[in-house]
Amino acid sequence: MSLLEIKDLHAGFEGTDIVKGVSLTVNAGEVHAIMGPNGSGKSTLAKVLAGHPSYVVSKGSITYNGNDLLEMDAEERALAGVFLGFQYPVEIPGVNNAEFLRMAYNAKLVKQGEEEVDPLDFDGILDEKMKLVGMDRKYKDRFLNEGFSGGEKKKNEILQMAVLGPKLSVLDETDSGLDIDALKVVAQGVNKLNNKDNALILITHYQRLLNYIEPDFVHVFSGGTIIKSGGKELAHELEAQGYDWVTAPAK
Amino acid sequence: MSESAVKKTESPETAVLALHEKFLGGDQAKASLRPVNQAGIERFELLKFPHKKHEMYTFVNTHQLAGTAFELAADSPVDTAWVQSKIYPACKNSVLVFVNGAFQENLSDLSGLGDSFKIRCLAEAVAEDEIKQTLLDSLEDENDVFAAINSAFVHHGVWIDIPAKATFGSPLQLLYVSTGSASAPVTSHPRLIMRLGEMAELKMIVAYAGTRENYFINAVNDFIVKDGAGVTFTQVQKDDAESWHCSKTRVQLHRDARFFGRNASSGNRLTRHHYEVRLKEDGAELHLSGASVLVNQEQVHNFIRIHHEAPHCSSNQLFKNVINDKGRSSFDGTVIVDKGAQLTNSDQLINNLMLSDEAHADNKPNLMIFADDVKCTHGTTVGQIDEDQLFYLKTRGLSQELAKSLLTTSFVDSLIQTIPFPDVVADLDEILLKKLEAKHA
Amino acid sequence: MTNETNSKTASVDEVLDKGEYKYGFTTLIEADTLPKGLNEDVIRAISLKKKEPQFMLDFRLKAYRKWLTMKEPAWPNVRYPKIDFQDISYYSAPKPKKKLESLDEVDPELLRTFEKLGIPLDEQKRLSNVAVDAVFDSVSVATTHKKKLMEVGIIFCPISEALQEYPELVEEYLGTVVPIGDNYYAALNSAVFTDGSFVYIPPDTISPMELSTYFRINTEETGQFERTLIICAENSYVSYLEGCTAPQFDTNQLHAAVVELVTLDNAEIKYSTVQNWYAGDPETGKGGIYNFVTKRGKCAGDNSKISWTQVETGSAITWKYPSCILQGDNTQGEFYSVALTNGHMQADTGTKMIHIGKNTKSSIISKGISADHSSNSYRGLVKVNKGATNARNYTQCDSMLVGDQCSAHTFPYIETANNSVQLEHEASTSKISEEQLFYFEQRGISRENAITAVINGFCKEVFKQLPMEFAVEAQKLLTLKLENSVG
Repeated sequence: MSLLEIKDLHAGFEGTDIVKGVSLTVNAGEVHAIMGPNGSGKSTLAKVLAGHPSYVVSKGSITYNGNDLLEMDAEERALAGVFLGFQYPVEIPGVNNAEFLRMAYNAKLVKQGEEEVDPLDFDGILDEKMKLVGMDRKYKDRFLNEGFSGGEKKKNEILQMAVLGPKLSVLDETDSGLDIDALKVVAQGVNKLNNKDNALILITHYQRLLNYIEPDFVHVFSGGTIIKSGGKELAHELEAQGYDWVTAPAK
Repeated sequence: MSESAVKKTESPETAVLALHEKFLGGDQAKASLRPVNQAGIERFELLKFPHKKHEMYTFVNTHQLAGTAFELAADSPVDTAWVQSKIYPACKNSVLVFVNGAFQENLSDLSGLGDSFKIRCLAEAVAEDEIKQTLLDSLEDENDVFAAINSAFVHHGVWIDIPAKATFGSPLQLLYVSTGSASAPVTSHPRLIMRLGEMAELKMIVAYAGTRENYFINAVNDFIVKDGAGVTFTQVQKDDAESWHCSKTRVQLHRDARFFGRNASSGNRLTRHHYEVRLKEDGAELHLSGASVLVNQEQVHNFIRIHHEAPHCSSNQLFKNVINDKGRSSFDGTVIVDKGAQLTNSDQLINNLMLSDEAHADNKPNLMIFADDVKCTHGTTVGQIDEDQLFYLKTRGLSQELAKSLLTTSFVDSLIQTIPFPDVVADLDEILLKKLEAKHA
Repeated sequence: MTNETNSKTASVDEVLDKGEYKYGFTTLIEADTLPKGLNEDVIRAISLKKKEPQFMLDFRLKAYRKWLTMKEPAWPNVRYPKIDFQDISYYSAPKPKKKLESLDEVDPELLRTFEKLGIPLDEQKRLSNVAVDAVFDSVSVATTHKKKLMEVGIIFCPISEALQEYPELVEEYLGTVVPIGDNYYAALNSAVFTDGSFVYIPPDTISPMELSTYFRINTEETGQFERTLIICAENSYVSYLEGCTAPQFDTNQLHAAVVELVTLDNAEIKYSTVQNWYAGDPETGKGGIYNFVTKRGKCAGDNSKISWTQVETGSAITWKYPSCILQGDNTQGEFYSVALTNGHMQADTGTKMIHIGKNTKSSIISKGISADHSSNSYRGLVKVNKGATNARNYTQCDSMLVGDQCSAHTFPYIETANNSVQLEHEASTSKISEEQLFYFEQRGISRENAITAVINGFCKEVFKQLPMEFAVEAQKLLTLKLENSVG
């Protein structure tokens, strides 16, 4: 059984479909890259997978781990192991970063019928994960994403991914807004988290990220649908020739 | 000549117009830049020098500056060893030296930057329509009279085009040397236009220094930062104490572009930094900070306009001033969040430490918000040395002077330490922090 | 409430009726009520009913005559129809069968009312560490732990009782912090107040328990004009809590209270309020309390401190500026406030810190939350007089918007006549948005927990000033009121 199976998905926002007929199968252990120009509907797909309430699915199906994903609300999907790395993580003043992570971690434990961890034990878990993703410990005591630079916010997303250990991670433009050094750190963190039991969907506009995280499959997204799929070499062709090469009507 | 006509020739505007005519007739003016000079002087005539109540100069008295008759600074020999001493070691193979605004090839060294670094002199680059248009467009809605004057007199100037994805091993230094004058005060008008292509990254330091007193440096910097590109821009203002300094830095940030601007100012008769930043597309990020230490009658003023024009952008500003004697500083900053710029994050904080009763700090952090889902903060503090902290240090055996100096230095040093170039940090410790020690010794 | 919140994310509206006013019941008790209207005879009647000393009647009449010359303030950022002061009854007391000797004799219906409010007054259930003065409409009905307090010399009783038993103390301090002509509503209160609490902490005494007053307006067309006077003598400390509720009526009730605090040398008063008066119908805005209150403390003695903490979640209109006059040297004033407005509520609240003595310090932390169609204004004055050398103020003023129909305003005023002053001001505006809540949910955290986390985070500097039970209550109150509004 595949981990994720999207069939002929049509979805959008305020009555207009932005994703128009996407089908995609993702198995555990795979890394998929979805590339495409801005406005092609990549981020909409990410939000639909995570269950953002403003997006409406008009047609098609998504099966996750054998269950109908569309029947689950955002919280249930998260607890079932679907993780979205946000393109623009929101700032939440007053809510401590470590405390937030512990809330999320405990919500998952409770779901699995386990005991919650206390702040002290969690601190140990957090330290280890922060080391793994190369994040300074000072960010533990900051408010959630507040005043973080773009790079720090993205690292914090990967930290959350490390703490929650999701089955399916969708990283939406995690590379945008990062300088090259920060990008390497983030990519290293993600690589350490990949294993044969989980899967990763990387959504990106730029090929640069794929120099550091090697995808098994590359899909080119345009006009709300996948217009070409291939191996990692496809990313290099795109880099060399631009999106026009695949999106031009006369192929 | 009637009496009123005599008065008229003495008005500061007339002096600038006369100097402009002289400039156009002289051999410094470049024919290719003539349309820009023309548009600049027309803009100047429209704007005029600010009167006392001008909204952009509420806290800045430009009376002395406008009333001084300047000559255009001529090319002038400088002591090479002196110039070398102003170049940061990390930049010795990546430095551009300008004297009175003119690029000095023999003193510059670009060998450390590689082939992707492209620099052209503005007079030549302006032959390209796009570049010419960029210059003329910037004048269309120019609201800063000194930036208009810069265009009216621009004849040197450089155009730097960083190609997409370029990155550099060492930081770039731009060193602007002003030679001053023993007789008539002189003025120069450096101009920099820089474009960073997609995903390019550049770290740069702009340092201003003078060999002697009596000059007015009036710089304009333009940055066009394309998708995903990032700039680190550190301005070190260490002009002669008897000089004037205006700079306007205009920044356009495109999608996911980043700009880290840091100012360190030593102050002089008048220093005014004007930042006009437009976050034009989603995900753009701006960090702006400034530190100044002012003694005697030194002045530093910051005038900042940040336009959030797209959603998901962030900007933050942190300014710290230490003011002693009759020093003066001001901060007039407005963050404008356009209607569509939802999920904007913006912070603004100004801290002033006043060391004397005659020191003066004006602060106007403003927010104009036209979007309804934003997170914006602003704050300002004006204070003296914390007596409790002072007392605490004294109970630990520190002398009054040492305790005071420690508290004052740490106030600005926390900001200086965020500058990512050790050479610059050391330099600023020398220039800014020394001033504080001298006062407390 | 938990079973209702597992509804799906999008359906914010489904939960809408949850914030219903929990205290909206009336109690059927025979009341002794004066006819509507106000004139000197009514004032004489109130004074007579309360068996007051002559100075009190003179005080009232002077205030009334002053009031007649004054106009209702127009500067607050609130809108309401003109109040007909002749259409209000100025006295309503639950009719006692005879003078009460102990709580056992209090009308059981009344005791049940307070129990419903969560304030058990009878001996078995009363809160062991809190002494309670319960004020029902205009009259104090029960004061607990009186004896125990008396043992250390603390006087805690209804002000009407104090006027009879300790008239010299009342006369010495009443009207010294809020003069009778201070403002329109204070003048009215000075003329017609019927009861309230009186506290006197003798020198060198730390109050062994929290003192508290619970106010409830029960009768439909009565105004509530209580008066509180707290005096904390040299080297003493007291923490005082105030809670307010009222039943639901379609008409508006006027609540125009005056609270005066005085600290002598080295004394400290901590005054906390959780105000949850009925706010009117959330849909139509009909009914609700007009809460026009003057609260002011005077740090008369050196090194003394007054701290105001308020959690304002109710009332149709709130107009209230708990203030500190920092008269002694080294005195400190503090103001911590959470003001939540939802439905059609309007609040114009803040503080005044008047620095007079040397080395005086004040801090202001104001958190405004506006939701639905409400309007929430912070208005604060920091005034530093010429002699107030080394005065310091820290002001932090944050607004949070919930939804896009509400508004938040900030009006900070700073007047300083001394150069050695140190001022800090911070302000922020933010929003609880669907995007924030989605972020929590995407990490597996429920919507309800997300709102609680965000609100607690926003208000924590204020909550931590409240005694534990009050803080928990305040958190619940805010979360409950906001769950409907986010979206």
